Amino acid sequence: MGGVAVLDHGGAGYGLRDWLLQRVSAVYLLLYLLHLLVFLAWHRPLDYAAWSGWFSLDGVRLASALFWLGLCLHAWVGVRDVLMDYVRHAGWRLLLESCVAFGLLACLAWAVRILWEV
Amino acid sequence: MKNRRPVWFSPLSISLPIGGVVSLLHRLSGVFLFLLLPLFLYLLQESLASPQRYLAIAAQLGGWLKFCLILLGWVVLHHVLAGVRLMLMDIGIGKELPTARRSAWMVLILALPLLAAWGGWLC
Repeated sequence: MGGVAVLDHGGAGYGLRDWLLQRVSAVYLLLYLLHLLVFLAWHRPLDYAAWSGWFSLDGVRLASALFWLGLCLHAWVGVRDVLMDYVRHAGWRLLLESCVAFGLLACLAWAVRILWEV
Repeated sequence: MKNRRPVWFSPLSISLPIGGVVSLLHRLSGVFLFLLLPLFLYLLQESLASPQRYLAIAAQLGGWLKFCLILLGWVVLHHVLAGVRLMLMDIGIGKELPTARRSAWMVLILALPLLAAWGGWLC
């Protein structure tokens, strides 16, 4: 693939998948945040009607749900890398990774609830 | 028998190259943002719940919330700028040492005016 040399290796793909997931989600997260900034700049001062109105749009709800999904996946890869680097004991690492995974799933569920209760 | 006990040294005694500093801050900012996820969700929830709760949150913007958002602004800015630098290096842009050093400085320096703009916007 093009100029990304690391994608030309012949490995099983687990590390590659996570690395790619982190990058792809990063791009989407940035695009979403930029779009949000533009929205905020356009609607100064921001009142409840404009804010909740925007989140009532189906497209915005969907894009926002994807944002939180991408954020959870992006955070998962990052935090898991940190745990892998500093928590050498397999048992403790598994416990912490499980807590992080459940925590992120809970955040995602909360985000979906917030978005669809508008 | 050779002494195999670990040697302790203060981590602060290591002087990291600038790329190392940016990388460390990138990692720290990421962990920090992860830990604050519930706060972001709480703010989103309250701001959308009802006009009254929206106003309650907006009222906080005069106090602790503004300070938090400015601090978070730097955290997000650094994490994003450092991340963009890393992704450019992924596709081969700026991976030579002199360029990498310059881009590391740029990440740190560029964050300041952007943060000032963000702070100004909040106020």
